[in-house]
Amino acid sequence: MRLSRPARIVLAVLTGIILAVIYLPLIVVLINSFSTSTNLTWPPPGLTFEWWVKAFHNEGALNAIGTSVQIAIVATLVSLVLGTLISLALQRFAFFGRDAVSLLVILPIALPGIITGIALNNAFRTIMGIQLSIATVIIAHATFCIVTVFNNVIARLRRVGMNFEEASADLGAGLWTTFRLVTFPQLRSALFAGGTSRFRAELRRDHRDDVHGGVEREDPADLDPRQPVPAESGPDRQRHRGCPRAGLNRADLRGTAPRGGRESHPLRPTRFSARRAR
Amino acid sequence: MSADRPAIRLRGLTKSFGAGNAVDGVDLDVVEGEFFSMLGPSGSGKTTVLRLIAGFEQPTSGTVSLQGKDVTDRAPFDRDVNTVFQDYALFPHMTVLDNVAYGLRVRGVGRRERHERARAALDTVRLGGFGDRKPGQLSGGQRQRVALARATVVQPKVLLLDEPLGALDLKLREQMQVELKELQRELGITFIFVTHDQEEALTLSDRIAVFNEGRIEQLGTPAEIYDHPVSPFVAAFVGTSNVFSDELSLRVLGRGGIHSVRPEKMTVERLESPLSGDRSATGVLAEVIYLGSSTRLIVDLDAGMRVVVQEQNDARRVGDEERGARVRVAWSDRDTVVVVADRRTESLDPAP
Repeated sequence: MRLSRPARIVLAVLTGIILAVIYLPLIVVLINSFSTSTNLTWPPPGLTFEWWVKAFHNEGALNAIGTSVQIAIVATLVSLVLGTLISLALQRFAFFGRDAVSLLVILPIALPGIITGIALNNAFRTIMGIQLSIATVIIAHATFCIVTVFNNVIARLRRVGMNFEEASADLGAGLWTTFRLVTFPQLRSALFAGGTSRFRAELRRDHRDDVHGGVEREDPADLDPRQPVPAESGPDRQRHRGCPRAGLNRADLRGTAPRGGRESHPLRPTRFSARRAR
Repeated sequence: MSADRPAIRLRGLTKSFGAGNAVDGVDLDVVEGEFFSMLGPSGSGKTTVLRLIAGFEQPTSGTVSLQGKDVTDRAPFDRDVNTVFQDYALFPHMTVLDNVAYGLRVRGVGRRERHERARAALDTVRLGGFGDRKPGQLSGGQRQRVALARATVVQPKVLLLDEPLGALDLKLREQMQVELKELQRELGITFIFVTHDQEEALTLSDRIAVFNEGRIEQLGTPAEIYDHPVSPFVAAFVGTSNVFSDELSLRVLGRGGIHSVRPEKMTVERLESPLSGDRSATGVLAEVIYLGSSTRLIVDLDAGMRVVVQEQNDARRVGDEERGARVRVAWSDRDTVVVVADRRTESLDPAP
């Protein structure tokens, strides 16, 4: 697609503004993390690595990050494979119940996260009798991730059409060879887009935490080691820190108010409990 | 080249997409080494027949045989035919050389050999040295030739071409027509050529099947199709024809049935000049279109019909008639093609 010069300039300016709006606050937080001041004084009065050192020595925080990365990687991989397969099936073949399957795949993003969360919790614990674990978290996250992959891949498949696959088959390639040499290379960038956006969302825990029915929404301030930890979430909660999301039990779920439940939120223990060392 | 083992044999081929048949009972034998064209307007079923032969579609009923073998249930990759697609379908993520070598690669030919053969194939389409480019960096005509090289490098028995020249401009199209014909003679393989361009079909083909509404309306050599159309549809679709309906035939020719006369078989003359043919009709000259080597004259006949006359330009012709002048259109009775015989004479003449 060719854009005229004015259009390119407008596009560049808009992109710049949007990036600035998104990233400037994050940069402020980043700079402040090196500040000797404790209350976001601007400009920072001095430079220190104190908070970072503390953060890197906080076992809970490290564990939480480790678990998040682990879940993000596995859930992304699972959804890449399943999402691609579903897209191919739904786009390239006609079969009974195709529309129903399509709806089921998209449903998790249409429903509020808490609904899916409670449903999955029920399905795992009550119906299947499985204890919640990292595995169930991964499954739950994958159900969300598949949608993104699916949307990216099916849009690409629609755009590319069947021509290349037919040409490949015509030249003697079987189904698998065609997928490996023709379809997959066409999908690569779509998969990359779907995968990275999912991976990022995973790490940020963009969506409500499904299985555990939480309404957590972590913003960077949550991880500010300088914020005093509320008394309610004392060190007794620290037992969850090994696997912050999977460590919940039913009582936690019930105890979690749908909104504003942050104080009693079970994830609280993963916060840095370090207080100002002054 | 045996009649009992044709390159392609279609029997009762029918394909329906929901309502109506896109292809409606097509029987066809294509001889080995033939340049065969399927000609018809869009939606006439010619491309669907091609896709049925290639295996991209499964027929609703009927069979497809290649070299005497029934391949109706075989997948495209299991058929010894290759296709040149209308939009070429070159793989955009591969170089030109890898595109051409693709068919050899999936057949397990080693890297060195397949590159060698792909280079040779590119040479035959005069694209040697273009192997390292991506398809996106080529012009339409070059892409067309890459698609030809890609389809022929695996040495298929039959090459299917789906309106391969449709995307090219006129000059390039004429040049590619010559190249296609040469390539076919060189390779000696059967070409099945789908087109809606009657001139292209007439120029290139050994035989033509004219498609209309999922059926073959007429099958024959270009001369047979052009000179003796068997239906008003063929007469009108292949070239320009002046088709006289039953009523007009009675009025102008003095006999019933449907008749057709080619524009170049007719002349326009002044009323006072001597009659040059044994058939004539008077009318008003409606339009004179100068075409360089010839002139097209459109005459509104008094009988209530518009005819097109095409005359070679010579000294006599130029600037001879003016629009609005009363003229006479003359032609010979042996150039009058009986498309549909007079039903009245048939009914008077009971079958034995």
